[in-house]
Amino acid sequence: MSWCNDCKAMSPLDALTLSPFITQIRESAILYPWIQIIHLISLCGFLAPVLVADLIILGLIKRKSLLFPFVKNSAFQYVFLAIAFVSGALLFLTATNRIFHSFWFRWKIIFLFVALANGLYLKWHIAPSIGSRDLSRLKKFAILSLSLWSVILILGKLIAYGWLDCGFATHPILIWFIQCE
Amino acid sequence: MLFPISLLEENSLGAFITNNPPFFLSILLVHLLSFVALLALQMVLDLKNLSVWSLSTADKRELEDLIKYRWAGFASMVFSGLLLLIADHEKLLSNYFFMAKIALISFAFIFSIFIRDPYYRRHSDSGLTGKLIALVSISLWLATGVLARWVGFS
Repeated sequence: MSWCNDCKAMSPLDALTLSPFITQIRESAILYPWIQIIHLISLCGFLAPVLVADLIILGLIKRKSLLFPFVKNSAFQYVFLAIAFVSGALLFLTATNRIFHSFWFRWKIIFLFVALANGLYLKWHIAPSIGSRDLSRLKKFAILSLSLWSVILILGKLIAYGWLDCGFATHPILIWFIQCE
Repeated sequence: MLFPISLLEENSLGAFITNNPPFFLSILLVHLLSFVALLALQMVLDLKNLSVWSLSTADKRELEDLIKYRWAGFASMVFSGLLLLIADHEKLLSNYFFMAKIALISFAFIFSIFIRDPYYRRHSDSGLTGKLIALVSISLWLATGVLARWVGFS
């Protein structure tokens, strides 16, 4: 790693953050905004079928058979999820130290796991027998899904704000949660 | 153009929003959520006509009902956007990306009202024309999203 003379003293994550590629993204007035834009648009692409499935379960779209194509054909959704993950990882690496200790980022990751688990539960355990099921029993999952994704979007936006970051946090529980030194 | 600008400068709502950071942030978050809902629904509406999902004609027709939710997202986005404009009009009105964004939103809105939506009310199976309309429509809304995000960086 020719770019990094002190790599042995650094964590792999810090070394990656200081790599020429990530430094170029961090300092670029073009690349960084584009990666943010790609992250947001890929999230919209991922959420599009989620939104339709939730609206069907909530009865706001009447045709139940529509749930099948959106749940069954997920290749399109996985592509967007992969793009969102890669762009999100690049954004994370541009400011690893700050984002890793961000209160909002930590909650975003927690909510993300819960939202993905909720989505996978709906997809694998409920959708295959959807024809024989009463969709009203699934309403709580749809409401949970819509709420979780809204919160994830809000938390993602709040990462840009520095309140509750290390240096600003005063409560011991908060300092423990964001692991400030 | 002078009248709306003077209206923005003389009202106290702008000062109230600017002096209340939590209120400003709440409006910004509503704006973001409305935009994501609008873009996600528009993606469903247009990508179904680009055959991303294998849907029957009846399914496609049913999905056109999403238009009402898309307009709800649009209305919420415009309302929250107006509040943000009132709060930050000096910066925004001198920003070329913001002006381009407003022009593009207007164009996307007119395209949806007069071309896209009437076409799909008449034709449920999208041929080459339908696919072209879907492609233009999704491109317009995506470009709006790109410009919207770029305003924050400029």
